[in-house]
Amino acid sequence: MTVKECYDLMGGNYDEAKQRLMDDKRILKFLGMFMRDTSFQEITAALEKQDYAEAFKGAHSLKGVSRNMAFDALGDAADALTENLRNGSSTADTSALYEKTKTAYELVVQTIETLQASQA
Amino acid sequence: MKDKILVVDDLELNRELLSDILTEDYDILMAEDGVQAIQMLDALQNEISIVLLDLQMPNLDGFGVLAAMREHHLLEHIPVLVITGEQSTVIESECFQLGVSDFIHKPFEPSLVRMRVKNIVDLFTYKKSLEDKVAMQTKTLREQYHLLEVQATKLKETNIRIIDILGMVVEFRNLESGEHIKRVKGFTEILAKQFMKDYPEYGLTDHTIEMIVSSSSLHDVGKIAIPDNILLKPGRLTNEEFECMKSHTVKGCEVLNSIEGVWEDEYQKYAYEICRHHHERFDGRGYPDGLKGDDIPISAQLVSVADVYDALVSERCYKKAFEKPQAAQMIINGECGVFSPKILDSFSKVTTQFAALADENKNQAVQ
Repeated sequence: MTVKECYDLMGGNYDEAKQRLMDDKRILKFLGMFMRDTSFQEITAALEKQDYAEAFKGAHSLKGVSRNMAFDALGDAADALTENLRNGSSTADTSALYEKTKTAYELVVQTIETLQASQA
Repeated sequence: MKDKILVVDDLELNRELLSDILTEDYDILMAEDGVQAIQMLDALQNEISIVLLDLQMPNLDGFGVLAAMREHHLLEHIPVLVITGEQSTVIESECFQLGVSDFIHKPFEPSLVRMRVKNIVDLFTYKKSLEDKVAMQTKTLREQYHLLEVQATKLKETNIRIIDILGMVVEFRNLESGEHIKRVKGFTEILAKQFMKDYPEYGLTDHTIEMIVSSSSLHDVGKIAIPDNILLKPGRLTNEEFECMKSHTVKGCEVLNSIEGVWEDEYQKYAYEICRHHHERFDGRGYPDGLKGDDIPISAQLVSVADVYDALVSERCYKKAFEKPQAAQMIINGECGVFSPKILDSFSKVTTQFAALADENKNQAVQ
């Protein structure tokens, strides 16, 4: 699998990532770093505790990281969740938006794992 | 040596992205939260050129860092760029009010990040160089001012020393006793101070009085040029001898002119006025120039009263001393010269002080 195929599969923007990070080697380095990022796990844990202020912070971080990596689909989902949680409380849509973010996040993680496996 | 940048963000990925973008031009320091950031700022505040600061962080957030930097006056010389994923203008405006220089938006655009950082670093470097320059110039000015003060003090000492030396020359020749010179100074001071109070329109100040008093000791300096047989003659002078005697006023001025440039012009001016005009009369019948009224410099008018008073209350080879009240009355009545009514008015108020000073000096002389 190539880096471009990975981005295509996860709904990301390869051209933008490449323009920003210059080459595939660099992109791979930062993809590896993304795998260590815990923002998504923080959202999950905070929502379980119904700590929406904390969940907002996690969503906000995930959005920023995703935008930086040009993960458009995940970035959009995290953005919607962030805006939903901005007031520090949940709404009827919160759990649906969380599920959407989770699906996008898992897709990104799986795709990166596949890419890393194929590069190894 | 490269400038140092401090990148403060809790997310490794963000820190590394910024580091990647900037590592070519700068040395990168990194902090994972506000607490670490403040520790590094404390330790390296003179080396860090700029801070890239995330707002949302655990332990201490970006606002906390800004508050601490403000408290320690670091924002004045270390610029802060805030890393933000927000489009909200409210937060940006809040940040500007807290002293933030600019923003870096997510996603990071490498070329924009580089330019923003470079612009702000350059701006602050320039600002700092200007401040250093101003500080340097201020220091130089302060040093020059100090030097001037030292020179002014020295000059003043020189002036007074010149006057003292000339006064001593007169004394050595035993022309006038040192006591006479000292008393004339004292009388002049008492009269001048009263006159300054009574007639402020003459513009006397403490400073001018100080110069007049000091210069008064030179009023008879011209007598060093008068031959002994005239100067020390016990009997009455012939008309010719008296004319020669009168020339001590003009001769004194010649002495003073010969030291022109050595002392301050102001001292020279007063000394000259006093030396030349202390025998003028208010009615214009004095010498050497026959000046009338207030054409006679006020310094000379004051000294001539002091001089006459001292002559009256002192014993001379040709006369006995007058009692002090009588001497004062003779001056006021115009029996010993003609003086300005205003000066006589002031004089009449200080006759007791004059008498006290005369007694004081006499006692010292006896001892």
